[in-house]
Amino acid sequence: MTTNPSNGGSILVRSIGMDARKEAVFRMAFKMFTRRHYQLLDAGDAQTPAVIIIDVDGRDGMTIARRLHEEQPEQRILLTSVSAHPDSIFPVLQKPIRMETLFPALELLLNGSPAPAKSAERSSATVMPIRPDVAISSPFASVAAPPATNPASAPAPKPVAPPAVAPRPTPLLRPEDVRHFNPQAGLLGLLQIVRRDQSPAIIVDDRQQVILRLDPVADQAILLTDDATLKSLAQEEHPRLQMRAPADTDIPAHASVRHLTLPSLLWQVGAWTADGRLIQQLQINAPVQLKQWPNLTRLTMLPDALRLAAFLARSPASPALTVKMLRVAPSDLFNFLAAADSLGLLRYNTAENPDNRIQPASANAPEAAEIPAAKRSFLGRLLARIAGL
Amino acid sequence: MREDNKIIFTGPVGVGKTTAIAALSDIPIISTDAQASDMTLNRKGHTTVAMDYGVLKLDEGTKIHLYGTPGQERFDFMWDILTTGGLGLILMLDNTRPNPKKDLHFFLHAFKDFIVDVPVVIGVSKTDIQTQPQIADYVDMLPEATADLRMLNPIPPIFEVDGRNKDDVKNLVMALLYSIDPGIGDQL
Repeated sequence: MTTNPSNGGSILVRSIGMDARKEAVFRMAFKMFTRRHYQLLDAGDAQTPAVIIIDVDGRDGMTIARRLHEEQPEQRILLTSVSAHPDSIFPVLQKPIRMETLFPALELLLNGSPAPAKSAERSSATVMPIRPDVAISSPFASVAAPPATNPASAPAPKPVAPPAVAPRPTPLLRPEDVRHFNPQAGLLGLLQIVRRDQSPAIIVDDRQQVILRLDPVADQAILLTDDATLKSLAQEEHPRLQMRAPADTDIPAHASVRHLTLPSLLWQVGAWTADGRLIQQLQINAPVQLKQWPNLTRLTMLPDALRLAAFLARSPASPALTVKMLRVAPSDLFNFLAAADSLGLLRYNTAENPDNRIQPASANAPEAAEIPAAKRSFLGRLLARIAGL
Repeated sequence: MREDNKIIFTGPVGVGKTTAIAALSDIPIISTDAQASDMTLNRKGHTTVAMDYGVLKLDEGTKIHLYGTPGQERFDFMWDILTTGGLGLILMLDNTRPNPKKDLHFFLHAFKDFIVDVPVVIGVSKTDIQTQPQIADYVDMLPEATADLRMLNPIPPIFEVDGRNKDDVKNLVMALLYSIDPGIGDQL
C-alpha cells in the first residue's frame, strides 16, 4: 500500500476546481471529523497530497482529472459533481455532499487501491450512493461530532437532573364542572367587533373616560388604563362600556398611555375573560383545531401555550382529550382556547359558521412516528435545559 | 449512552443565525467567516461561508450540536452533511429581504428530505424594521410554498424573533421540541 503523504499526522488533500468558499466548506468538514486529521492544502502549498478532490462541474474539471491521472497514475483522485458520472474511471461523490459519504470515500481511496488500475476501466470503487437513504451506523454517527475545542474555555454544563419528577397527574375534567362564557359579549365582544369591521374606535367607560383607542388597520391599540382595571372590565359580565368613532380630542396631550398591538390586546383580554371558562361554542368532547400557531414570542405566554399549540396544530382534539393527553389544567386549556379564538385561530364545527369546520389532515402529511421512551426522556431533559437558560 | 443530536439553523445571509446559536451555545461558537466579496457585502461585511457550530451540553455524555448553514444559496451542495441525526430545522427569515416568500420556498425546498422526518419552525426577524409581510402573510404563503412538500408538521410555528433576544431563540427551540412531541413537557 502506498504510504499516505502526511504532515505530522495530517492527511493532505488538495482541491481543484473549487472557489475559496467551497474550500472553506471542506475545511470545516475536515475540522469536524475527529477520527482522522485531514488537511486541505492551500493553493500555493507544494506538498504532495494524499488525495486530490476535483470538482468536475466546471468547464475543464474532467479534462484536468484525466490529465492528472495520465501524468501521476498513482495519485488518488476523488471527483465531486452534481451528476453521477456512471462511466467515470474515478470515484464520484455526488452533490450535495454528506459527511457519511465524503469520509468513507476518502477512507476507501486511502486504504484501497490508490488509483484506477486501468484508465480504460470504470471505477470499481463503491463510493456510490451519494445520497444514501440508509441509516447511519452508530460508529459513523460520531463523524458529525466536531473536535473538542479548547475544553478549558468551555463552561461546565449546568447539571440537568434526569427526569425523576413524576409526570403530572391527569387533571379531572367533569362536564358538570365546566363553565361556559359568551366571547361575543362584554369588552372582548367589543374588541372582536372592531377587529371584524376594521374600523377605528374608542371604548369609554360609564363616566365617558377613554379606556382604549383601537386602530385595526394599523393593528394598534392605545391603552389609557392599567392592567388591573382592564382585567376587571374583561371579567365583568355586563360592563358599562360604550364604543364610538374616535375624535382628535379623545386622548389628552399629557395622558399616560401604553401602546400594544391589537392581537396582543385581544389575546390577553381573551384569556382574562375566560378566567378558566370554556367559550360557549366549544363542547368538551367535540374536536377543536388550530389553524396556525399564535405568534407566541409577541403575545403573553400563557401556561402551557407552546405545548397546547403544538398539540392542537398537529391534529384536531377535543378539550377532554387534550387535558387527558397533555395533563394540562382545564382552566389553562380554556384560557388558551379563548385567547386563540379571539384571534380567529381556531376551527370547530358549528352550524353558524360552516367555513370554520375542522379540516382533515393532509393526505400528503407523513405519519408522526411513535416516540420511544428513551427519546422522550432525552427530549424532556433538553426541554428543561433550554427552559433554564 | 452517547447521544449526538443536531439542531440546524438555516436562512438567508444576515438573518441572525450565528447570533441565535451563540445565545444557546455553551462554548464560543466556531464560525468560518470571510470577507464577503459579492452582493452579500451589501448586507453584511463578514458572512458565514461554511457553517457555524455551537454546543449545548446536557451532561458529560450528551451534547446537542447547533449548526448554522451558510446563507448563500450557492452552498446548498454542502447542506446535507448537516442534517443526518438532526432533531429539527429552525428556518430564520429576514423581513427586510426583497422577496421573503422566495426565501421561504427556497429554504424549505433545500431541506425537503429532512423535513419529512423532523419538524421545522420558522422565525421571522427584523419585523421592527420592515413590518410587511406580517406573520399572517407568511401563514398565507405556506400552502403554495409547501404544496409539493411532505412535512412532518404542515402547520409549523411562525414567530417573530430577534436573534439577539435569548427568550425568542429559546421559544423557537422549545416550539421545535414540542412539535416533535407535545407530551414531553408534562414534568415541567
